[in-house]
Amino acid sequence: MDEDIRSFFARMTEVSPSGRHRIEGVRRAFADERMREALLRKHPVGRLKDVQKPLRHYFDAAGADIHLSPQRKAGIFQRILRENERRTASNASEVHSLFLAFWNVLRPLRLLAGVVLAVLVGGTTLAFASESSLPGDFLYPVKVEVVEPLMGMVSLTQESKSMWEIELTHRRYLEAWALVTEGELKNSQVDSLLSHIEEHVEHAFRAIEKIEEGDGIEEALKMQSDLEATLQGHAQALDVLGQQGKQSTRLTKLSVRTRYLERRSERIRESMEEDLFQDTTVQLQEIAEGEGSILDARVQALHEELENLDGQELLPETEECIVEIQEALDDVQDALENGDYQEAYVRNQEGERMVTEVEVLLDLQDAMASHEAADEAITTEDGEQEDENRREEEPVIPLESQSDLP
Amino acid sequence: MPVLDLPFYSSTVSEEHASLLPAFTELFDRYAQPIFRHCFFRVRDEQLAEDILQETFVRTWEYLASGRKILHERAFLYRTATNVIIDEMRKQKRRPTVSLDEMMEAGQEPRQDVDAQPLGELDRDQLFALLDRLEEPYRELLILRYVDNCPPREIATIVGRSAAVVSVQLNRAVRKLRSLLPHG
Repeated sequence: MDEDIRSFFARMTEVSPSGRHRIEGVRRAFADERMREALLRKHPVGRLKDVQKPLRHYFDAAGADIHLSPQRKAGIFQRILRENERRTASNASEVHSLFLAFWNVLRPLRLLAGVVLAVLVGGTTLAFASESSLPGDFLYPVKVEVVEPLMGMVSLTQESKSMWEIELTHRRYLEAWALVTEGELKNSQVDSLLSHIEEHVEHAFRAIEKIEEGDGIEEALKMQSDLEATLQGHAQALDVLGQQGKQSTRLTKLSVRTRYLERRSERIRESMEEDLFQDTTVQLQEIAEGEGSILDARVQALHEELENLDGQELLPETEECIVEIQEALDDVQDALENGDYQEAYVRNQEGERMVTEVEVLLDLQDAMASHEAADEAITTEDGEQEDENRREEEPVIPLESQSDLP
Repeated sequence: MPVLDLPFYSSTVSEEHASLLPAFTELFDRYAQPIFRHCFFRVRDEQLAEDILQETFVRTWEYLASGRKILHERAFLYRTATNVIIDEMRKQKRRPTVSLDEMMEAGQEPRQDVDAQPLGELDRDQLFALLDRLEEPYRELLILRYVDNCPPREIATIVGRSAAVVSVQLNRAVRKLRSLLPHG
């Protein structure tokens, strides 16, 4: 190779002696290039190709630990099959003929007629009885498939619809608590509850989206914050139950999913807040002051509720929240005085969410206390019965023979 | 016990569709992992990626249950996953930013300054930071090429463009990404 290059330059010099100077320049440039290459060979670390790894390397490294565990994979597969069947079932009930189309139009009326009939034949008793049913109970499908949808039909505005969906989400968590305190929460029930909760949360998201389109962002934000607070409160409550070691494995599943829904809700709320602050037409001062007085009223009501607890010990989580609420309330006042309405609004919303969280935690505490009281009552009843049985079994010694006793 | 235990799952499938289950199970078994990884690279949220994976296979099942046949399984699944991702993004409207707390919760370190890193080292967050600097379709194409190892012809089927266009765009994407790499 070197020979060829040398002969090339020699030939060039012969062919064009007048261009010798120019050719010398080319020769030098060529030699420089060769020297650089030799240097790079000697010090490979300085070579770009060696140092810069192929793109694939970066992607491989980034994706190395992204994988589904076999259990997770199996769980997803099971959920897929359940969802398939659910969708197949709902598709089957879709319109396939004119008659069915007509029937579908009449469906709300059919339901109404069903209700009237149910009232006439004493179905209300069934509806009331189903209200206290839990997943796995015979009447539970009546509650979630018939009674609750009927109750939801009276929610005509998007605001009341979203409130109803938040209420239903709350109800499902209360059912979970009831099952956990009874020690009867099964995996299948966790799945069923989660599926209902996710459905309610999705419906609430949709209703809130419509509120934003119709009534404006302020109203939508309130509902979004409410939904987030409900999820936040229940996530906290599930953690409390989990710490007590009650069916912790099943609770973890419920808790993880709740935290995920809470985060989703939080992101949407944050994004809505950004939109609100960017909207120049919004009178932030007015809103912040108005919301501030609502928080104030809610805190007053909460204090009254706490006074009614008659010195009952609070959960540490509840106490922590109460301290934070007070801080939020102080911050809101400071921000309003300083004219920082954005900060006032944000802290106010945080305060309100914490009030909701405390309310959920107080509900949980109540539920746990009444369950313990019921347990004690059962234990006492059992004890009394045992005493009675023992008395019956004891031989009655006739009076006249008592003197024979030592 | 196998992870996807057919007799166990068959109880949740109606008789009408029971015949689809073996093929569907195999499809899921083979593609769940790569589709999940693809979705994670696209949405950067493990839980959301799992949801998208689930919805992708639910739609695939619906497609199969309607009596239609899938010719190119992999391309079909990636395309479906892409559609689900688009739907999800539309639904959320706003692309959320990942907070520091969430990143810490997910066990990830906060994003670092890419240029401050030694040459030849780049972690996942930094790679994501670089990808974020690219616009679509470059991001999608790079993920399909380097995460999913799809050849350009297959990428073309997935994204619904011609192979020539995909090759050109992929080339541009690679150059753009390289230009962003430290000492690139």
